[in-house]
Amino acid sequence: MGGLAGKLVRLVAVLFAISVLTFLLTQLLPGDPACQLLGPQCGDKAAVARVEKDLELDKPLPTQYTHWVGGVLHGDFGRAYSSNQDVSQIIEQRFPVTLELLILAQLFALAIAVPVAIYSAYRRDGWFDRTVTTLSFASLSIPQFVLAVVLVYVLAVKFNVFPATGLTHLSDDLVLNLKSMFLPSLSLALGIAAVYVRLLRSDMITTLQEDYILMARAEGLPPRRILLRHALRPSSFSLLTVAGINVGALIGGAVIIEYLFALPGLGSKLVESIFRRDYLVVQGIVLLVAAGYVLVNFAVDALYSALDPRTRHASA
Amino acid sequence: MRRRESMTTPDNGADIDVELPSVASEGMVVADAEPVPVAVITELTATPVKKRRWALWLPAIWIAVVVVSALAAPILPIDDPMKSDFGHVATGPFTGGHLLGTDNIGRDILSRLIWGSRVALTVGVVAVAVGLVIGGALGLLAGYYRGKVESVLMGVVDIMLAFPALVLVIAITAFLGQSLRNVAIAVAVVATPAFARVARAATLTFAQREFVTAARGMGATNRRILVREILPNVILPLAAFALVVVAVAIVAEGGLAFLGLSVPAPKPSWGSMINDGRGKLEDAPFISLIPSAMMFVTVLAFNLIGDVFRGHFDVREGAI
Repeated sequence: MGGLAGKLVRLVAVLFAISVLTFLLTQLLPGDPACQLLGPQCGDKAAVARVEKDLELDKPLPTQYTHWVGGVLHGDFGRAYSSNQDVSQIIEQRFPVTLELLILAQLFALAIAVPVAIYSAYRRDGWFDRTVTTLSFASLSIPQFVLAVVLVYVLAVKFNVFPATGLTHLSDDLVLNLKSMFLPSLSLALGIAAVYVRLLRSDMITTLQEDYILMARAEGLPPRRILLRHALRPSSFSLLTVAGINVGALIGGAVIIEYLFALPGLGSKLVESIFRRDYLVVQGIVLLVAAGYVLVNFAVDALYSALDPRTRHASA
Repeated sequence: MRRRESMTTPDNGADIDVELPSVASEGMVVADAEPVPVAVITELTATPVKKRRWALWLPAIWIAVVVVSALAAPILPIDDPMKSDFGHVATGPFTGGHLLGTDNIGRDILSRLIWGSRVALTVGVVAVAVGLVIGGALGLLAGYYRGKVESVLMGVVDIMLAFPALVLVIAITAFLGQSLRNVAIAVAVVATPAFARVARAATLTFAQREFVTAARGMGATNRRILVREILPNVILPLAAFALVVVAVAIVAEGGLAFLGLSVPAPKPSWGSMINDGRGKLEDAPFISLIPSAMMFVTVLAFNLIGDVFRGHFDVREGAI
């Protein structure tokens, strides 16, 4: 019944709304944006007028908006005023770093969470399970940047195993790159790993009570096979959804983590541009990040109904 | 026999618990675990309540201590949080008359912690109060009237939730300017849609119940049903959610302060204290680690209490 078409229309509507909001957000800027950019030269009327003309700030808002969005749709996000660099170029340079950070963090989180959750569910209420439950609750309460500072203290300052800040680019050296990405991605990963453990553990426990699991056990299949082949997939649907939703949390966390570890990604650029009032850069990054988040969730949603046939008929 | 109790399975419904709040690390993420009809039902609170008494009292005592010292900060015998003691710069705890030591420019850490807790608590309480009232009201209306009201309100909520929470908070604070009031507003703006979601979900489950039909049959107006019948039921799960959001708000404020976007510079805030000490991790790690621990313990306390409450009043979103 037009499920996908309806979702697509909704997606476009949300993306449109996001672009309007992002645009309006920067209009909230107190005072005159041209003035903010010029700083001490603000008194110079001619300079202000020139900047306003450059940035089309003298036009009415709807015109400014259509101009901006028109450009964005063609990959033109405007020009950064502070560095006179194309915003799209800045994004292009910085996006890979953020993407790598997010992917590594997700991989880390899943690599920690999946085995731990499976074993916890398998030996439910055993000492391992109880420890895991307590630890995961505790680690939900550690802010990512606090964890990062502690990790830096232990693994970089005390034991000097990993670099405290900076990044070796992927193209330069894979091992050094992964080493410089280790602490940032681990800081992001631990909190969401805890979410995943709790979720997958309880879903696994539910699944393990199904009749077909009993059947498999009666047939004498080894536990490893039952857990991995029979129980894991049907238990991992909500994990998948939450992994999608968590992309948003990761992006937010990445802003702080990139700043903390001096990684040249989108997040650190966002903070820098906010301080410089370079609002076209801020607009561009916020739009990209929000749109990316929406698209990821859309993809997860689509994937979800592909993986679990039951949800295809649920929308009655 | 105890053991028996904790074996409660999700099947018998006793401990069914929707994966709603409880995540503090970042963002309001969890509030939108909605569209998962099948499997989000978990049993996180399988431990019987009796065994978890400490999980209520210990954090409650901690929060009371933090709140009282924050309120009493002006009359407590502590140093000026912004004055440097140049005789003791970056000295460890229990030295030179500074109970928790001094930071990298000789300011008393204990005093800064206490004054910083005023910032964290203010943002937490104000943002949550605003989010609770506005978001709660919107969610109530959407869940009760359904139809167009619901689609419009929830459309707006979905769009708000489409922005990664922390990015939105950073952007709003940056543009409003740095002050305690603006940080609280920014966090409130982000918290409101999450409250609306929770309130709507709770309202949906209650709006179908017999006591509402009965009230309507006796001629109660919509307003009366909303205020007298539904609100008292919805307020409990909302309050439980609010406790968790206080924790999220404290983390958000900490993150902003860490980036230098919360209250302006010499004023103390936990996040900025952690950031201040980063350069000194090698020789004076306590400058960062003490406020880190403070933040962790406080956030944990709110989460623990929230979790206990949640176990009691949780909403079953999939119940319809």
